[in-house]
Amino acid sequence: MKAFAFFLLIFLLWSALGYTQNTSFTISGYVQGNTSGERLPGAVVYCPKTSNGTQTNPYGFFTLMLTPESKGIEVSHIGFQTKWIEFNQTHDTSFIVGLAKRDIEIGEIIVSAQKETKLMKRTGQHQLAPSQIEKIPMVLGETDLMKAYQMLPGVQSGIEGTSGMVVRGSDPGQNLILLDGVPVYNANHLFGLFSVFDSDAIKSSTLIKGAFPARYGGRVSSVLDVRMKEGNNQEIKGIVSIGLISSKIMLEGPIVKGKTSFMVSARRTYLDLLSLPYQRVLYGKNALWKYSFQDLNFKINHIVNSNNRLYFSIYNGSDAYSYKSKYSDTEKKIETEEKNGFNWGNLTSTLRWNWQPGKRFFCNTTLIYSDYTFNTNKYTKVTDRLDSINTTSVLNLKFKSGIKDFGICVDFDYAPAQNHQLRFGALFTYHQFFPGVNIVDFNNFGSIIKADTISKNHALNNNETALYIEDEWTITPQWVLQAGLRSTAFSTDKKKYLTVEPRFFLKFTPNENNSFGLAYSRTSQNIHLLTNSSVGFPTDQWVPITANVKPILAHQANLSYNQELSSTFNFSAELFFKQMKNVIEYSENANLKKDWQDIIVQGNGTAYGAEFLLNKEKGKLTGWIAYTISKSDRKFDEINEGITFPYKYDRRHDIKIVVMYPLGKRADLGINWVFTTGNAVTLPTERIFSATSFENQFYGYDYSSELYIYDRKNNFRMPNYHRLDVTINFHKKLKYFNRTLSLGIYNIYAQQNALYYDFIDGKLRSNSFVTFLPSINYVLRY
Amino acid sequence: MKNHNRSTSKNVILMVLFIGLVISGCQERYHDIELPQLKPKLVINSIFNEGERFRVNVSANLGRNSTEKYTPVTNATVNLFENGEWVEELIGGQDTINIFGDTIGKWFYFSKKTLPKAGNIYRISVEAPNYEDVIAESKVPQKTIIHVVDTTWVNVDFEKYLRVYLEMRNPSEKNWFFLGTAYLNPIFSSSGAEDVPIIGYNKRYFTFRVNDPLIGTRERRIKEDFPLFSNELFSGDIYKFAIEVNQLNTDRGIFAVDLITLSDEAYKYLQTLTDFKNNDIRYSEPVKIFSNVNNGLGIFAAMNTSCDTVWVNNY
Repeated sequence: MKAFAFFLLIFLLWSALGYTQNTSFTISGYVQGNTSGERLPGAVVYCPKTSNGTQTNPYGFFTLMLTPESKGIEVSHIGFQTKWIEFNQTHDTSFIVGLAKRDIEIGEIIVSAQKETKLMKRTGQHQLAPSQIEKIPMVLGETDLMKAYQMLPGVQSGIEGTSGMVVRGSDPGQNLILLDGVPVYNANHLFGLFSVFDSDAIKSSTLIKGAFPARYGGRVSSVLDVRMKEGNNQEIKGIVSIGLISSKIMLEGPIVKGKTSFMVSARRTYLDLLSLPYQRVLYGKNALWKYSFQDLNFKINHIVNSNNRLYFSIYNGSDAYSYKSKYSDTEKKIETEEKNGFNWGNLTSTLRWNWQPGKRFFCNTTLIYSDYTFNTNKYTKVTDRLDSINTTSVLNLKFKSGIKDFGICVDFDYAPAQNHQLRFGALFTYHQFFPGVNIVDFNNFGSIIKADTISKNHALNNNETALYIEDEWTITPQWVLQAGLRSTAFSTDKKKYLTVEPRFFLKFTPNENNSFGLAYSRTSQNIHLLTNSSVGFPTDQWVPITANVKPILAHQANLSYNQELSSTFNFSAELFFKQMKNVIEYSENANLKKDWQDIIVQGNGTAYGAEFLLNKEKGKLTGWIAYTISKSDRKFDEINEGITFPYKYDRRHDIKIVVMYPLGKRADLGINWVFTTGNAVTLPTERIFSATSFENQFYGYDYSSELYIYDRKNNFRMPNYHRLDVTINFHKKLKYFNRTLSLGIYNIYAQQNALYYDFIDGKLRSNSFVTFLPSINYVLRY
Repeated sequence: MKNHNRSTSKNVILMVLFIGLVISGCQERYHDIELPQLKPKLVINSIFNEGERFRVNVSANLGRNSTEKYTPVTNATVNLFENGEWVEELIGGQDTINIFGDTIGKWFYFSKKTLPKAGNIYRISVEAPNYEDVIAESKVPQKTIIHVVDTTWVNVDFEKYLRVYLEMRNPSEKNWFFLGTAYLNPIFSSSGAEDVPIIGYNKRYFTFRVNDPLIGTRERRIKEDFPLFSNELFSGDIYKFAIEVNQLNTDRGIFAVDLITLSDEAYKYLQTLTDFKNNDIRYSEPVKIFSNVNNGLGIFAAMNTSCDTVWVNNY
């Protein structure tokens, strides 16, 4: 804490320096869509005369200090027309800038927008507007924010059926996924095929994978900051989307025009209903499985006065899988009834108060609630009608796990001087963890009597407090330094952990076509995602740090270069090096029946690589090529005899190509191609005979006589993963609606990418899941 | 009207085809995968007991993908060392003791004169054509004495159990133990006499249940964990505990309890073997079987068994 106080003092002195400079006047206010009244985060407010600029905060607020020679400012945002605002006055002013939506031409897609935006761009940061995300081909035509970000360099998905986003060689548990500032612990539906984010309900999103601002913390790999729409406060608008396996509806509009607005969106899959006839053919009436997911987003906001605004938002999403079967053995007169299932879901909610106490000051206070649950159940009933006496045995196992957060955070934006933008704040979170080990012992049904001997589930309560301060200092128009400091205190029942995390980002822009960036971030993570070394299911458990389990600490350094090759082409390259301490893995031979703390080990991880992005922003054909070459490995004293091994997401090469091309005035074509090196997995390569008579003597029969040998961890590389997706969108303007009909094929050449391996009859077999998947989507926009 | 119906039928057929394509696209598909070329290694299997002849099985590893059958390596040279000194070369031959094993289980290398002694370190070196030489060693632990103090019949969940009260000596060093329970089947002479004489006993092992804070809790299951425990938390010279044996396994006759003190190697091997046999859920962690065989695979580990018996009357 002393270190934090010391750095805080330095910051205040630093900011005070700004006062000594000849400041003239301050402009501040909000940037919003002129027809919807939606506040626009990340909009660029830029003065070309002085090369001075800033970006709006997540609530659309900006403050910028100008000199009399400034004359005016340019305000721009992805997907909106740039606006020039001229000044005559030279005194402090506050105003609202309304931006008109830009009709994105068919086929046009941009990873970053205007030149001003690029000038403000940080190393390792991407922004995709919802209008852009819609144009990228997706599985089953379902527009998906997370999948769109996975088309960028350094960001990878698992494979079909695996959950999570892998950023720069880390694991999916190291990404901070925020929805309106609240952590979402499991952002996947349908085992990772879709994310929980309904694109129609999303206003903006930003992915940060390096050069982390100090205001973000709690994860060591990336931040995906997603903001829900606030609701159009001028007129009622709506979207109805009918897809192959799910449909959704979004409605937004004013409750009190210009003052209070709402947004509500709902999505539900009907995969369970569609598969019903198919199951009837396969299984008859004896068995039935059901799978469904659903989402509900709701937001309401109220402008109290020009200085105060209130928001309330809620998200509830869940997945549910169930299987039931009933079989009769007429000969033995035994009836068996089984019901198995699991469900998981997130409930997040925020109550937010935006307060602008002065022209240079902005304050945001948020109450946070997040609840992630994962439940399993297994029910077996066996009825034996032999000898005319009915005997019934029932096995009913239920298991619950999850994590609950209650939090409050206060964030301040303050512009003490023309060349300084100061942000500081505090966050307090009360975590309740319900970690458990999800085990159902299939072998020993006959003797399982006590379910509590199988599952362990002890609630763990922890407090987390974080303080941060950051400043953006425009040293000269060419040199910008963003420096910050974050300190986190995490208290468990027996131990307290304190981390101090310096962050800095230095940007040099020698001319308007080139820029260089250098960044360093220290990050920490006080919760771990406990995942096994094979397929990532939602059964992965979130567990907190404890007296024995230490927090993850990471250092990341980045060097970036950005060049405007021409008016249509942009090129960027970025080197990264990341070192992680105290990452967790299951120990070798982990017996999952034991308490989770007894079967994990902590070690170190390293990831480094280079990312390249060539982006064509204008012209008929638009899109990008992203290439990442990287290496990620892990080292644990207790695993693999202490020898470094490749991490399961160590993918040497990763290529993504996104192409958009207009087909006349009413249609556009979207093509994705993805290629990535296969995952590293642990497979037994040998088998040996266990000929000791030891077991035979004690158990009286030939027992465990064959053993499988794993020579080392992650010793096998799965085949390269690749697929091509194509979508054609047909647009039509109807009397009351704009209609889009999307036809798509996911994995058009039916590449059978391996999902997992198993041995059947002694043969190693790869199993693939999604091949050649056509889709159809029908969207009406009002 | 007719045209309308035809169009509707066409749409329905198209939709069914489309959904069929989607569902078939989501079906699992399988491919056989080749594994890398295997490096041939010798596999040693021997867990030896104080006072019993060395009995070492030598075989070779096979590819996980191969369908070959195990064959013993019968042309190996197996040398035995005691406390670093060569003592003898083991002789290969058939073993008639193992009646439940596979064919491979019948070929072993035996010691002619050397019997393992507590406190001594034994090492074997094995050489065989086409394989790298392998070496393994283990120290024979001291025996830990166990006594059957008393027995009584109890009713648990409508079943009869023989409750056996035991006490074991607490060794000064930390040791790992394995507990075995057995029924001694008499072997009768086939002389044809009316009062057939008993000429020996066969031990028939079975599982037991225990619920003890230091020994552990175990249900009566067939595929149960190896009941391994340590004396780390014992206090005093003697530790007392009880086990229960189902009546189905115990009847009037001689009941035996074996307390096996394990060497470090035997403990690690049995522990990983336990994990291996419990590791039959598809997505659990892979289990690495412990091996102390340098350049090869398998186990060469010592143990020391103490046994006590008691006569049990019918319940």
